[in-house]
Amino acid sequence: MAVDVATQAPPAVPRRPTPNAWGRRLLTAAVLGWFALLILVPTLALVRGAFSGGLAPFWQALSSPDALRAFRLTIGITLVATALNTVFGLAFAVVLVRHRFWGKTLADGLVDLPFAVSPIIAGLMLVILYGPQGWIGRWLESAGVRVVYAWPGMALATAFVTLPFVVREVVPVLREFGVEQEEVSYTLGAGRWTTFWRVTLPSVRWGLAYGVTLTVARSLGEFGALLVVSGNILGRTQTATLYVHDGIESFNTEGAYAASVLLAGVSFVLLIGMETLRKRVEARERPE
Amino acid sequence: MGIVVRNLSKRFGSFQAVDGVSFEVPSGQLVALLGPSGSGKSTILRIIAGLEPADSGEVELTGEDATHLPAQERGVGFVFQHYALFRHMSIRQNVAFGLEVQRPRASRKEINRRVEELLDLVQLLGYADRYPSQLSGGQRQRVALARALAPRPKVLLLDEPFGALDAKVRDELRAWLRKFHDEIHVTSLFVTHDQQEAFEVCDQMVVLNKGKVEQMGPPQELYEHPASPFVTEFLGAVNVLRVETVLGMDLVGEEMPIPLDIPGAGSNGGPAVYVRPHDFEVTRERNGRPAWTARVQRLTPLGGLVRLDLTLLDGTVLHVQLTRDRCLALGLSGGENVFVSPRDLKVFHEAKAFVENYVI
Repeated sequence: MAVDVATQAPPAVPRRPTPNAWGRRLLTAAVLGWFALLILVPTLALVRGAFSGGLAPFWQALSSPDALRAFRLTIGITLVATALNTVFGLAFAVVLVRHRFWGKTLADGLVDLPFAVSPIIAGLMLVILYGPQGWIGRWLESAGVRVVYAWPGMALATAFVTLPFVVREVVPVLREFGVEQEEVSYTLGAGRWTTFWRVTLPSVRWGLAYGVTLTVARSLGEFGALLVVSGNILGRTQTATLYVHDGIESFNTEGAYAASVLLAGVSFVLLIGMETLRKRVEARERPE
Repeated sequence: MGIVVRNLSKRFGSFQAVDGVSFEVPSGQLVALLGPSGSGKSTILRIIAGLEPADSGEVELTGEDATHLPAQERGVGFVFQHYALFRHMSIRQNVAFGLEVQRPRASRKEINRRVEELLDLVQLLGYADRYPSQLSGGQRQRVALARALAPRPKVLLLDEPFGALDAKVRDELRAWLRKFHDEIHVTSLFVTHDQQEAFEVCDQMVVLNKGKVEQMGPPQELYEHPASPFVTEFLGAVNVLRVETVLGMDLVGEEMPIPLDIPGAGSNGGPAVYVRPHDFEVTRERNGRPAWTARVQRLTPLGGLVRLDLTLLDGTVLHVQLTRDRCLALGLSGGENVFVSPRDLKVFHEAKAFVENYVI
């Protein structure tokens, strides 16, 4: 039977299902619930624990000589590791993005190794290499330089664990940045060094700053690698995290809580501060 | 001479990007490097700027050999298609950059004066303290130009400077650049793939194809006397006809439009004949001139012009352009038969790369 197509009613457009408001609310609730369970509640519990006796015991716990020494060591190690990773991370990113060399793909993949292996293994590697019986350690020991069970080894371990942050944050920014602005700078008469300081570095500064912030935050909290490398010698190689660890072991919970809150607080403030600053400045430098 | 390029060659892997290119840009002129993508035009510009080393050949800037000079010492101003403004600097800082990195460095006062002067020149004085992201595309490109000109370069190089702009802004900026150049007269070389743009802006053009120079000269001369089929086809729409089609014209006792002894005439692969769309005459009646009978397939009004798609008896399709008035006078409509005759034919003798114009 021939059907006159023109007289047929157009097929009904399938109606889109009305957005399921309940489904959406449920998803939001589930996500927020999980967030609360995993992050918010434990954080609150920690803060509550730290301040259970009021502000005075909190300060007291933090100002004990052991705690002060531990924090001083942590800050020192963080500074050294961050400085190392800022300079080398930046150089590494530039080489990965701009240069072509044999084994580039391998190097690119290996950058993430510190994220993939447990920090304890990282610590072990350093002990094998720099320990009193290690390949390099043997020589250094005879020259009177102590690496493992001393701060240089701890800084090295921290730098190892936090190596990927700066590289991973800077690489995409540098790639997006391209080379044209640098080329313009050259034609305007600027040398490579001037171009790097005045054109390249300012253009990747937020990526770098973010990488550095993450490096600092992670360095403050590093534990596993330090546990192996430091020997955890009280007053000598005990960092803030090792102090927390000992506090828990020896039922000095007040000290452990206080140090934990301070460590977590600093990291949190760092990240929030960075993000706020970045948003403010980037608003005016947005590419399009 | 502003820029002299001699025997420039550059190879990327197995791709010969630039192949023995030589040309000159007279001082104070605005010259276009015109070619399709992959013709090597941007590579040549980058070699002149010192951003890319040439495999062989020489570059001379204002009479001095610059072949081995680094980009910093060549004294060229470079403008990129996507502006490449320093995003983290204000407009003022962008323009001042080239002055601040010069050695010896001018005084703050002098730099400020020069920046103001340039911003005034590109009509952006009121925008000095804004950031690039706060400007439109056309404004950004003018900043890029001001920045390139700030250190008083010997030559100005522009790489597809209007390529990233939308049509209206592009037209305005082209006209503006032409006027601007007439005022400041800095030797300029600009790369484009758009023949319209080249026609509108440049004093001379160098047409490139596959890394080689096809032809150079003033735009109108190249348009009227193209040296090769490539130039003919690249510099504007053109009908490519087989010799047989031309010889098969409905002659009715008239004179032959072109000599029958064209080399290769009548054989396949012989020379092709080129006719521009506006070089046709369309009539309703025979007027004694050699003409084809053609059927009007389609009429496309294009503002002041009308495009006709015609089919000849042997199936050849012709694109013909008439003025709107002429078309109205003829009262044409689709499906009708008309007579069409070429006014100007170009025949290329491949082997000799020799062109003959036959004006009928």
